[in-house]
Amino acid sequence: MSEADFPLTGDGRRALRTGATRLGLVGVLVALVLFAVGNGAVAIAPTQVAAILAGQIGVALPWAFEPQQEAVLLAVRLPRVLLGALVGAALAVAGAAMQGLFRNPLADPGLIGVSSGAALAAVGAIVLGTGSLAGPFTLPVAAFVGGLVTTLLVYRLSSAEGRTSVATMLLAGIAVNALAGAGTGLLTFVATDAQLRSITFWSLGSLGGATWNALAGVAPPLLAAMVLLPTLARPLNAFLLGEAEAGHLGIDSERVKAAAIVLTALAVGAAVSVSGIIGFVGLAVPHLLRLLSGPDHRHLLIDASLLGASLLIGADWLCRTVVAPAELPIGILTAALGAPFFLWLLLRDRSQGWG
Amino acid sequence: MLKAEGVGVHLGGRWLLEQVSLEAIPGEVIAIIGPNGAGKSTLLKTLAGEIRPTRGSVSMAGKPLADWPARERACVRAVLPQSSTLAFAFRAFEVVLMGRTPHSRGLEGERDRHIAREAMAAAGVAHLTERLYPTLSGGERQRVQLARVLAQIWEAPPDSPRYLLLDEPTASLDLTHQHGTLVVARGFARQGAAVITVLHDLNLAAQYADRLALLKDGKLLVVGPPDIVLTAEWIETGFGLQTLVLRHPRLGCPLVIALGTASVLQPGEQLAHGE
Repeated sequence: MSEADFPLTGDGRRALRTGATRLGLVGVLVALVLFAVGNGAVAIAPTQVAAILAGQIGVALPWAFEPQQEAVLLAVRLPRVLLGALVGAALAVAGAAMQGLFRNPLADPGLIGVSSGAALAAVGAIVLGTGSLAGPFTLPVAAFVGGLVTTLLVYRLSSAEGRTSVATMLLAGIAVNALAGAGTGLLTFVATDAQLRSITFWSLGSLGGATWNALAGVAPPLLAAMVLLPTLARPLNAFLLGEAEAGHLGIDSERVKAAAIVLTALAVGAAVSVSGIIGFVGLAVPHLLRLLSGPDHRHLLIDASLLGASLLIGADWLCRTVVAPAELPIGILTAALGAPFFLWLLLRDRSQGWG
Repeated sequence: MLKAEGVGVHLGGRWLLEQVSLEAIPGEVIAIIGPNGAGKSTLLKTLAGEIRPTRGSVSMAGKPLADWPARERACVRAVLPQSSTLAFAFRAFEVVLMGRTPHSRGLEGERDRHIAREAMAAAGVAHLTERLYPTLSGGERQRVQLARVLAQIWEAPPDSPRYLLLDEPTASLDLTHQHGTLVVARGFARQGAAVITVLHDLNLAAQYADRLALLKDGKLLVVGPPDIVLTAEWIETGFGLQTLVLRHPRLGCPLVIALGTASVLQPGEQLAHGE
């Protein structure tokens, strides 16, 4: 549209654009949730979904449904779609926060080693049989601690005299990823057949393990990241100017760094603990959103949750339908789609500067 | 006032600053001059609270810098970095608006936007408002950053003077904008702010600063008005450069003309220049 038939300032235009983006993202998410819970081996119409859910709270709606549909929706689809939404949202918002913290649009929780560290710890817990240490919470706790330790390690390695070197960070991430990969490889080598199956699950990623119990276990850390990371929006904006500059603007940069890293490790560790390694969501989602509505974290961190949730629900739907009745691990799909996107970014940015 | 007392900074196994005492008085522009590696930026960063002095102390309005709550401090003191890398596609206006960060929580108000626009006009970048920061030239970015730090301390609080710290604000600017930037700094001083700026160009320092602080090897050689500091003797001591210091025919301030370093000059050449 031209300036003439839209007499708004740049502020107005951008506000309009962020508003439209937000509205569109909410619409897409709602539509995808309805679609994904109804679609699969057993089809359930949106009206039937409404009737089943209303029935749960004792309200009778005039749409008939089969008991089988009710069972599938409540025990299988709903926890799975909700888990996909939470994991996708948390990965995307964590990716956006990492990119802000490292002042680099190519930072990703996977690139800096948090996912592989979490997976290593989880695989370690599987193989070394420490499953009884903290009961059902052993795996999530191990994955969380693994993710936190690797994140802190990479951050320490790439920071000197209060400045973080992006090149060092990426190289340190590669090294830590390789190290974690070696550890995971060693554990795989000594694992039993039953353990191997679990390990495959970790390394390829899947939402197939979704139950209400699993959901309840990981929802608190995932929700914490989704809710609390956006409160760091303004400090993260200032961080983009540089750490010293953020300090001059009155921001306690050490506190912001610590909060962003802990929340990211919390979210990614929890996500990996329940669904394995799902790559490229954290990288691609924030990048896509910056193209749509600009780099301001006050919009970005909320929109990232919405788009990340939509993306993972959509990807998971593909995974469980394209090769039905078998299931494609979701990590394969996101990597297969995400890697070409990453390459496109690199090629595009080489000539234009960061979007 | 912003006051450094007996400041020493020890980093990486050597003393970057030793026994430096300097006072920035509201209403005054102080230029920190000196050769490369003299500790000019270190001194500015120490005054900004970015580097903690190993010895001595820095205080602002009578209170040690470390005792100031970060946000309160940011409301009265702004710092322009030497260079600023911002890889994300913010509009220039949004970058300037970030200067208002310490004054509000959440979204900026209309007052903040008004100030950001005024600061952009003052820094001569009003025409860049809608441009994306990564697409600006080095000099344009520097001036947008200047507008950002001006916006940060645009209004004088009732109970405290303001402090503007500039690290080589003219480095990547053309001649017109070098002067434009220092005119803005002078204007801020006239409104009662204390301005401290690192400058390389001695003639700019002579023209715009009330006092000059000459640093060499981390030590303060001399502090005083341009007439005292900008003499051929002090410049040779500080920079190892032979100069001819004249009087500016219009402004009356010292006018420094470089003749060359002793090692570069051929015998006899020096005499020819000296006439």
